[in-house]
Amino acid sequence: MNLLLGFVAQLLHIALMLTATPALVSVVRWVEARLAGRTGPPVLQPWRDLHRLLRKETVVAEGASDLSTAAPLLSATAIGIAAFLVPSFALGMTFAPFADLLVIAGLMALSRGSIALAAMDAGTALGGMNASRATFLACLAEPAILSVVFVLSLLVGSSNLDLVAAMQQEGVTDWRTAVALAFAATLLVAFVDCGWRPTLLEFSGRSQALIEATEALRLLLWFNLLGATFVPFGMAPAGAAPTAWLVGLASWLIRTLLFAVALAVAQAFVNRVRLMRAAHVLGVAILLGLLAIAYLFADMGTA
Amino acid sequence: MVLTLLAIMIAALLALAVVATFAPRIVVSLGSAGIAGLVILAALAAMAGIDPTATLALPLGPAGAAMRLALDPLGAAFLLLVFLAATPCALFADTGQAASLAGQPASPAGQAASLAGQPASPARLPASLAALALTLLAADAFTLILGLLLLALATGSSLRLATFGVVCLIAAFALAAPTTIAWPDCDFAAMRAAPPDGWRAGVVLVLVLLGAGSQAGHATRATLPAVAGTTIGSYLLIRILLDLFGPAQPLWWAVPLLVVGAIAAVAGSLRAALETTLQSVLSLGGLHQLGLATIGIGVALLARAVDLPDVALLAIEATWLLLVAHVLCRTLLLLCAGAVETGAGTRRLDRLGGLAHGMPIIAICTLAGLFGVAVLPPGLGFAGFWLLFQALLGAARVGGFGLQLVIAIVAVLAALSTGLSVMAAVRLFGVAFLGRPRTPRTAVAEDAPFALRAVLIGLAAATGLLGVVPALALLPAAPALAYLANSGSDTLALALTLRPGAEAPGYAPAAIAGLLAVAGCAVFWLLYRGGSQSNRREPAWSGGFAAPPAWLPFGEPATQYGPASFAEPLQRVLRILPLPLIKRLGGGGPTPDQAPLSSPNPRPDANHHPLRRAIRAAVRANAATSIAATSIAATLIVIVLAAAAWLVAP
Repeated sequence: MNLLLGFVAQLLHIALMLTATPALVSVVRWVEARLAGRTGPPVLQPWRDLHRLLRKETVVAEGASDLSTAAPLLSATAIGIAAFLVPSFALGMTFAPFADLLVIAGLMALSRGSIALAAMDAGTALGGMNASRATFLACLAEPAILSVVFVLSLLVGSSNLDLVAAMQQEGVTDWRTAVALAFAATLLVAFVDCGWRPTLLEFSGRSQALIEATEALRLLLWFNLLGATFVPFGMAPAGAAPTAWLVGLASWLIRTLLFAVALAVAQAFVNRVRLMRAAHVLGVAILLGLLAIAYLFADMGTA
Repeated sequence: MVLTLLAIMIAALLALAVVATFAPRIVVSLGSAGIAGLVILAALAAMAGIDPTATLALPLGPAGAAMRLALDPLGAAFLLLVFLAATPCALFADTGQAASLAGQPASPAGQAASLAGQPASPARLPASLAALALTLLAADAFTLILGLLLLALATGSSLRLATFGVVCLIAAFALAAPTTIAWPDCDFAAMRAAPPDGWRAGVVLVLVLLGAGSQAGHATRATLPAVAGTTIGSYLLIRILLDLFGPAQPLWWAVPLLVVGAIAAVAGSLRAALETTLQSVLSLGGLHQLGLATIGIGVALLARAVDLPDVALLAIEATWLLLVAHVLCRTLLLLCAGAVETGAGTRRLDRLGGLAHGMPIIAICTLAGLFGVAVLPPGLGFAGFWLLFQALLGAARVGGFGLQLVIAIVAVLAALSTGLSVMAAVRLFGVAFLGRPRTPRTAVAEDAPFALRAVLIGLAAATGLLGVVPALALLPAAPALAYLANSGSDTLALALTLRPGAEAPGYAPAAIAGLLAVAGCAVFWLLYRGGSQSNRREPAWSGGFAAPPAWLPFGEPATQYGPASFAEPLQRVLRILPLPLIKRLGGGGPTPDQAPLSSPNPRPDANHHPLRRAIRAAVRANAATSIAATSIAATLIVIVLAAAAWLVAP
């Protein structure tokens, strides 16, 4: 029974991710526009954009190899799988045993890396610059993410995301400082990663559609990841009846909307993340992560 | 029986080295490869029915002692691993030198490079294979030292460093040997029975670390030493620290290994992200894997000291997987680099570019190798790193606050090194294989000969398969790893999932790879089922540059991002370090081979005005100092807060 429930929940989750992604983009854009005093695009605009790109002819840059087609595909797939692994409204989905935090971080790095390679394929200056900066920021983000994973895994005794979410649902009372510091570090990394959008000029048609879908899905993935690791309240526990899913769905909706509004507000204030400022923010995130580990050890010593 | 055969093979290799000067190159190459293949077979045969007590005393050696050879599970596993890499190296030993041998170096740079590289003596290949086998089979200190010396002489890479390492090891053995036996007769079995203690133990640890660390000097542009020679360093650490010095060591022994491993990992991947030639990027990048493997050995020591065999097993399995990734992927990558040097006439990154068109197979194989080394799922390197991270988590529960903090910092540094290794991989592949050619010679690069391509495809497939099923890589070493971890169970099931505990959910590379494949195929089918609609080719919009004229067929090469510009953000961050350290790491401005041959016209212009120059320098320094100031301030705050946390904890 649990197997079947998990499977149905997994299918629902996949469908939810695929449909919610464009909606999320339109919400973020709408809030950004309102903050800037504009009307904003219509709600259906992201769907229209994707539809338009999918119908268009694909123009490939001279001198580009087949990687220009393959890399956006790989990047989208990696982010997609990561998004399918991170729970949204219910725990105990079919893919839950595979949802390791390190694997999810690795899949995100894989997506970034393949897009960076695609950007270098046509041999333009802007593409190279994008690739260089994206990989540079990714290599600063990695230690910050892994220090957070370190904290959570030490608390739970496993780096599996489902177990982490289940533990956070039960509520930890002894280690609030460490978890709060880790949350702050993750927020900083997520803010930089969501704000850093590659401007890829060499792609068109379906490849461009894939890249835009990847960016949107990455946003939703970060929101789900933040929600599942730090604020998984209302999420249906493993093996719960489908009625609990409704509560989970409602809480997921509220969480995601809150994150979306927060991101839009933050981006309205910061406008655009410049490279070295982003590096500073990530450096602070690394230090916060280290501090979280130190506090955790100190607390474990007393406990 | 197997040992006798192996001894005969070593003798045959040495004989081949003697006659190599007269024999044709092809005979030496094929002969060495054939004997290396036989060594693999012997190692496999030994694994099937192994007898750990079997030793073979050779009628050679110093007065009063005989050289002893033995083949225990650990030696057999390393013999298999090293010779799996050595066989293709022996077959294609000349790859990469063909351009210089044919006497037609394509560019002044290529000429300079081939002149700088010593012409390889044909005797080197069989001699280094013999040295490798001798080192791995040695059952007493004298034989081990002899093997190391022979290896250093045969590979010829950084002889001074190798001599230093050997001297350190001799001193270590002399100190560690039980007082009951005389130095030349320093039998491994006797050493296991009486491990060193007290002050000797500390000195010995430092000496062994220096001796094993100096093996990293083999990381040069030649394939065999860069792969096999550096692996010998890890073998020495494992053999001496985990095997010869008994089943448990003091807790603090782990700290130097953890620190050295973390520094090596970060320095290796940083160098890989900054170096300017294919071979140096690849061979120095190997230090990343070896550093991570050293961290694994450190965690194993720690876990053995506090009697946690499960954590020790995780750590030692991680070490083994990282070493397998290092050996297989590094061989693949360095052979690919050799093929590029032959096909494109240079190994300088700033002269390559667009090789994916001329050398598609080599490009795919390089990508496979880089994927295995960069820590990305579902690659082989990721499996090793995942296990290492779990072992670090397990080890973080023991010891005091100080030790725990060391482990945490080591974990964060390991994470930084993985990020840097991804950056290095993207830089190498993007600059050399993608984009437009940077020189006309590169534009007409040709793919490697069929035999080399076949071997490379085989190696690439093997690394891919082992990444998806890491248990296959652990299987041949399972008894040795269980013995090293003091773990009772040496029956490793061929599990598809790596787990930190019996019941815990783990990392399932096969599932991740399967999901990626299914989802990728689904998206591909959805998007491209109607066939690819006329992929029109147009010149890329390059920041406003016009389309290149007819006489500049690949456009202006300088408008592309090159190896130096790709690493520029890193260089900017590196400026917070003291200058000598930056120089050491290969950063800080162009290296001599990057400097232009003729300096541009030194016309005095506005920039040379002293005041203006001073202002520019101040502005430039300001960016660096602001980063430095922020980082130092933030670090200080963290240290103070951490100290506060420690004080609060009773």
